[in-house]
Amino acid sequence: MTPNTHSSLSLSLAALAPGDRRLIRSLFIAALAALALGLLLGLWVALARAGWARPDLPETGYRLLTLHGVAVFFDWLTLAQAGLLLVLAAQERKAPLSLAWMGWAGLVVMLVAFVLHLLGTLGGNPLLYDGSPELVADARQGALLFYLGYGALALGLVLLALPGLATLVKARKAGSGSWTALGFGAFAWAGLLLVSAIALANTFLPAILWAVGLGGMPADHATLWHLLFHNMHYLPLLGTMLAWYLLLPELTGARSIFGSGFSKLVFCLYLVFVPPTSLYHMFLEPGLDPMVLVLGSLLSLFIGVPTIAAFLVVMTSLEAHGRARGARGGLGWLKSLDWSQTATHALAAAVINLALGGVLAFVLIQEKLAGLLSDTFFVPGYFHFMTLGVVTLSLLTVAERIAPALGGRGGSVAWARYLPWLITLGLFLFGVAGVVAGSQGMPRRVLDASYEGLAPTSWILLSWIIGIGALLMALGLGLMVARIGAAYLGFGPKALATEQPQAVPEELALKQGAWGASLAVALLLTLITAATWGAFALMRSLPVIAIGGAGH
Amino acid sequence: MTQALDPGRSLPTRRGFVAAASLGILGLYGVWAALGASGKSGKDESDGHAGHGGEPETASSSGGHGGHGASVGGPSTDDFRRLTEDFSKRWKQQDGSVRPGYVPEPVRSEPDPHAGHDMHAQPVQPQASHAGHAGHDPHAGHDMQAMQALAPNAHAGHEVAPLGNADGGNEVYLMAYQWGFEPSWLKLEAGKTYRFRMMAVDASHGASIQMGSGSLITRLRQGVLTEREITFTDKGSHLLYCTVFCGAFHDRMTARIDVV
Amino acid sequence: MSQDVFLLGLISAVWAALALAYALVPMLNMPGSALIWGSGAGLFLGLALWVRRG
Ligand code: HEM
Ligand SMILES: [Cu+2]
Repeated sequence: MTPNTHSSLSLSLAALAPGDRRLIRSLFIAALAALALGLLLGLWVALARAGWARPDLPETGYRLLTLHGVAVFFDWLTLAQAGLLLVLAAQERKAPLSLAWMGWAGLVVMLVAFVLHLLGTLGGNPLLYDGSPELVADARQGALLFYLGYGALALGLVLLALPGLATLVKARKAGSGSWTALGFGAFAWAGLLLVSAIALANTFLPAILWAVGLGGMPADHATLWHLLFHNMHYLPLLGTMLAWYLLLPELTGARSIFGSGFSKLVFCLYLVFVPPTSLYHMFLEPGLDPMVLVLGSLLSLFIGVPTIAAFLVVMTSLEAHGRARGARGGLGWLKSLDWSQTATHALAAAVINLALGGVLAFVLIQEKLAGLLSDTFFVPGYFHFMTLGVVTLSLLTVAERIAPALGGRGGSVAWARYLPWLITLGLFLFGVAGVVAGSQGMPRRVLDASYEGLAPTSWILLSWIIGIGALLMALGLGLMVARIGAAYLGFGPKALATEQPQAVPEELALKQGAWGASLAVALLLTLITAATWGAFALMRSLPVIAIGGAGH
Repeated sequence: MTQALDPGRSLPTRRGFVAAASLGILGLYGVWAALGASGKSGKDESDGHAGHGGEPETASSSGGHGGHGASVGGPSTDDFRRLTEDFSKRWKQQDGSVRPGYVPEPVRSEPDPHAGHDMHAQPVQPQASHAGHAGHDPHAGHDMQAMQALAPNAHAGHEVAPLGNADGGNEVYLMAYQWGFEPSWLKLEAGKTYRFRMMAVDASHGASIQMGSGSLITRLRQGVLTEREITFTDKGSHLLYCTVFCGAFHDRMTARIDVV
Repeated sequence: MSQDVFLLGLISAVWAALALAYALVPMLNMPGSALIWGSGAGLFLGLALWVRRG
């Protein structure tokens, strides 16, 4: 226990039982291991696509991609989010966790899930992480293990969510009878985690039954997978917002100046809008009613509302706070942040990646553009800004900040500040080249997009840029994971006591003309408009007219 | 809430302002409308191309099964396989390409009064050997004329057509399987509207066409007939490729479409 | 009813309505969605009650 810091977060963690801290520490260690493995696999796939490290067998290449998806998207994100949930619960409760044994059980089940996934991937036909039963009709055993991996994952999610939920309920009762904004957000988020477990079961129970011979081949697996995936990728986005809410007071002293009721409403709206926005994954599916396509695009816009609101709440509060403390000029409040902290750099990079990823996301939700962009490298090109640049960086920052309070090390080293920027640079190359290649039709999920010379030569060049970007991403992320992992394992410099910055009086903050975030949003809307227009112009310039089917 | 009345509060720190600014994203719908992308699908896409869009039947209301591009009540995978084979056989050219609507099958076992004539017509097309460059073929125009000249004979093909519909080669059957397409080499005419009838028969596949600076992406679900009306406006040779992961040799799954 | 409970209930209510729409509007063709969000609505109702009871 190292209560030599005065941040409220370390005090909350100090109030946990020692076993609770061990649990959180173990969750993050397992999470970091999954991320380390997954990022190497992702790098390998990128190098294979560039033609620099192509495995002998195509099966091997697709197995790498399968495990990349499983290890980072399911294992890393789940374990790190489980850790974050317990941290949020501790922050609200300021006393030992409830049902901590379930958390341990959840961790064990997650390890079992990983082993099952590994065995299922290495044996049998190469599946990708969606595990389409169509592809394994003649090799159900390998697929069975893979599907059981998802079954275990569903169970793991439930076990990992329940201690957080129970602790939060206790905290509310013990407190003033209502949650802080963060407490409410964490509870609702954990609820969505349970919904993801339902979606997992919904998708893979039929597949499991089929694989053991107890049912027909699930015909709508693709649809069910889209629903699951939809849940699973909004979940960490909400988790990221909560991480920002948690970290900002720690880093800057700034709290939301909009009141906790407003923040709760924003979190609630986020959940309200997740289900109706799932349609956009389906735009390319044959057989969708045209009205559904239009509706899908329109509804997808709504998820932007709480996302932008949360962004404005966080950033405007931050700016108002900085100005109230005397920062002057357009960007003085940014300069006045504590740039000696790695976390400040990581979160700043995350905000930039959110902007880049967000602009591209809103291009992709236009149903008419599905026939140009869906199933191309545009998709991984854009979503790595989100999954890596926003979510992973933010979760890593939480892990980094709490390491000392969990009994690990975590002293700062100067070079760590550059890592988020190195990752962002890599992402930029990967993402921009990927988006350009994708808009030219270069498909995702192929190991060799040269098509024996029949593909446009630009695809080869762009794949090289993607490969270079991936190298930088992997280098930056690898070093970051290594450093934080070492701190968790007790290596590295000792943490120095940090004082939490003082908050300024709210009345003063409220008087500030904090326009920065609003201007940023206006700029983003302009960029989205331009990008959408560009995509339409490209689509209409193609020497082909197509009507009907899907995507148009 | 009292804050709205609080004169000490700056505009960007007001909740109402944040709410309004967040709703601003919905303004993107206006952008889509301006780009002509908000209406019912299918219609607007043909706006600028009345010449092609004027067909009485668009794929989004494909006849018979009262639904959309894809139908539940379409042919089974076996039926589709057979239809595709018939289609390929019917329009197979000497160079191995499949060119719907071109000339009736030259080598045919059925007694055909015009067969001899057809056979005779074929060998005088010397470009068959270098048809790989059909897109730039100096004889392309000649091909077209030949086709028109021969068109009256097409009724012969019509009689034996196993497809049961009197099309003038407006339909294209495309079957996607592990791992390839049938036909694997199509020759189509620029400016002519084809009705593509596509199906993935063993697992889900894609049938995407690389069109230079962008692609026309199509997803095919196993056993689901998907129809699109496609008009190529320029001549050229295009890569047809699979864009839905379908197993180990997914990235070898290609075919060629020459627009002549 | 506190804001916390109200908002959880609101989520449940909206999801239930959506699940009904997914289940009953054939055009949407999304029975899988109906199942997930219907269960989600039930789940959030349960969570709201749990929080209310404390
Ligand atoms: C160094 C870091 C990373 C690199 C170099 C990398 C690289 C790649 C590459 C090359 C692909 C394959 C694209 C394709 O061919 O379709 C891919 C797919 C993917 N990546 Fe990453 N990635 C990294 C980190 C991450 C992280 C942190 C996440 C999530 C938390 C993530 C999630 C995914 C997902 C979900 C896919 C899709 C898999 C599929 O389509 O089956 N990646 N990544
Ligand atoms: Cu395929």
